[in-house]
Amino acid sequence: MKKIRRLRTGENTFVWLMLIISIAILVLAYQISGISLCAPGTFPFAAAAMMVLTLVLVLVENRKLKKPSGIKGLFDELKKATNRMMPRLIVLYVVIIFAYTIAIKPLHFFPSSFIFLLISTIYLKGTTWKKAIFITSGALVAIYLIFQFVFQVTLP
Amino acid sequence: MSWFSPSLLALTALGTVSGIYIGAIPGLSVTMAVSILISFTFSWDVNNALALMVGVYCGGVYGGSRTAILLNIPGAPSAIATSFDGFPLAERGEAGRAIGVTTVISFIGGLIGILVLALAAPRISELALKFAPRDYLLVAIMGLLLVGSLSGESTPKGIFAGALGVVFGMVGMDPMTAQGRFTFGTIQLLGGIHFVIAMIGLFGVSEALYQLHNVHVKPIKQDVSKIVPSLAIILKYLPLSLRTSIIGVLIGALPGTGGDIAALLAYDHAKRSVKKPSRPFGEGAYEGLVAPEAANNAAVGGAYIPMLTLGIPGDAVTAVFIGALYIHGLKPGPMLMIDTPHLFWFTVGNLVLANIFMLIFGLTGIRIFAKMVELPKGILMPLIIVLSVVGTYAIQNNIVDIYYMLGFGLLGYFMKMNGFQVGPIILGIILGPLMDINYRRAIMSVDYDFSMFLKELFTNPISLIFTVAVIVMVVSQTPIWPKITGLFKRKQAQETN
Repeated sequence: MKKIRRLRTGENTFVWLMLIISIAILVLAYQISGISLCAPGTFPFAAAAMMVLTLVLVLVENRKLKKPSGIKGLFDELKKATNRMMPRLIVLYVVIIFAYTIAIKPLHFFPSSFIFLLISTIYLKGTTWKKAIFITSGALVAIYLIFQFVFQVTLP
Repeated sequence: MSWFSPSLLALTALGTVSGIYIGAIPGLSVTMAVSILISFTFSWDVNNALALMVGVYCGGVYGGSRTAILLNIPGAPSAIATSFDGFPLAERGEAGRAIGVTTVISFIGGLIGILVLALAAPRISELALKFAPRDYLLVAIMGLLLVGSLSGESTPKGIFAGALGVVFGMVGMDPMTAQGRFTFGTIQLLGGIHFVIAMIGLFGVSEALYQLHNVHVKPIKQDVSKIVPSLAIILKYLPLSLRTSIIGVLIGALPGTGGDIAALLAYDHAKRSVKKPSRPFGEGAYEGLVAPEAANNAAVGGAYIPMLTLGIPGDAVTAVFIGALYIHGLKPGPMLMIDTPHLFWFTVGNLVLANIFMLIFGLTGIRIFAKMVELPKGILMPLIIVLSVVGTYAIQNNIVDIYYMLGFGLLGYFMKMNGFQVGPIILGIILGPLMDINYRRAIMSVDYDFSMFLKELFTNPISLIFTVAVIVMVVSQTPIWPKITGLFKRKQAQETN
């Protein structure tokens, strides 16, 4: 017998969110050239319509699945979904990544990457400062040698 | 450029050895590696770039089997079937021998795939010259139907991701009328979103974030000893490896199926056809290791057939390869074989070289390999982020692209967390514009008469074959298909009784 999987906490909320975005894309696609059999907007409209249709099908499919256990109301589900999809470790790490990309321009690539790799290695692995400095320096030297001399690409 | 020029040999060797490690480390995929590599190699000579990427592809498909055997974690989807008997062999202390057999059989499978590619591709290419735009549309639809096998737990989710990819592919100026599509009136978006940026975000950053959920899981220590297998063992499994290689190359050549499906079907074939396996299947049968490994490596050569002759990807990696060829100013399809036949034969030779290197590196350096696989994710994932940033910037030297890439990374992460696969998005981005342009050309060729367009789908012999193929592929992904096949099986059973 086929095992029915349990719905992920917040999965339907995500699907609804995507559905709203898809409807907005459908409206934008309609604005390109209306509904026409052969125009610049034909494929965008068809693709957007397919997005809306498939998400409705996903919602129907999800109705047959077992509900996530221990959910008490919408607020509780949102809280648990946030914990599942955006645990503190990942949220903070995404913030670190964005800070790194913003710092590239004013600090330049190597200093910003050094700080990013150093913080990341300590934050994610919990290693000592000494080891982190050694790993980060080694990685950046390797990146410099490979990308400047082998790939010959412009670094940010 | 000669196949045996030292720089080319070095790049193929480097690609293959990197591919073995990338394929073996769970969390790093060949698709991710090839996506990032495109951005680094686009300024290179096309032969050098392809040599490196072919090496990574071949090495990666083989490398996936290593962790499947040692840790019961397939490094790549094509190694899923390998873990069924590979890990039980490792539990019995036969990991070294299993890796050795896998290496030699993968080499044999790979060579058979290349042989079929060399023989079949020129003929398919000749036929493809007779294609009309509607045929290209149908072939592109067949390619897009790959979403069926890339969908994961739900087909509608896969189709949604494919359609989302088509929308991303449409962003920018319409190539026929120069009208802006999804540009929000901005000049920056008129040039469209570079698909490599999307690829790096979706496969690199999203996977790195996804892997952070298991960042503190300690890698398992491995024990590997002598791995070179005896000739007697290889000869014993040769007939099975030849049979399953043929399965692999045929499955690999079909748009919509790749090494993972080839390996599973080959495993199934071995289970049905081998009457006296070395041990029961699932408990460490060498036959259960030989069949999927021969098939998934043979599927590499198979996947190149639709890619080089029709410009249609056979799997997610070849979808990325098509992008690489476009970046180098080449147009995969029948004209590629006519305009640049040397490139085709170069690729064939390069695949042979990559397989030879795979055999050499597969049978050596196992101790260093064991250390690399144990590298903590806390070190590996930040490095992927830095590589993704460097790769994205290298495309257009534009810092804004890095933010787009991170946006794709976050989108991919949330999609993965909710059971949506990101592979179909790439298919949509690549095939969407191809379908759009060929559909409109096909409609224009019949003076905007849609009924005539439909009629030609069923009256032109080539179009009819593709139309039927598309219908069968669509139906095979619906719940009706098991009922149809069940009906045939019952009829067959009645006839034999």
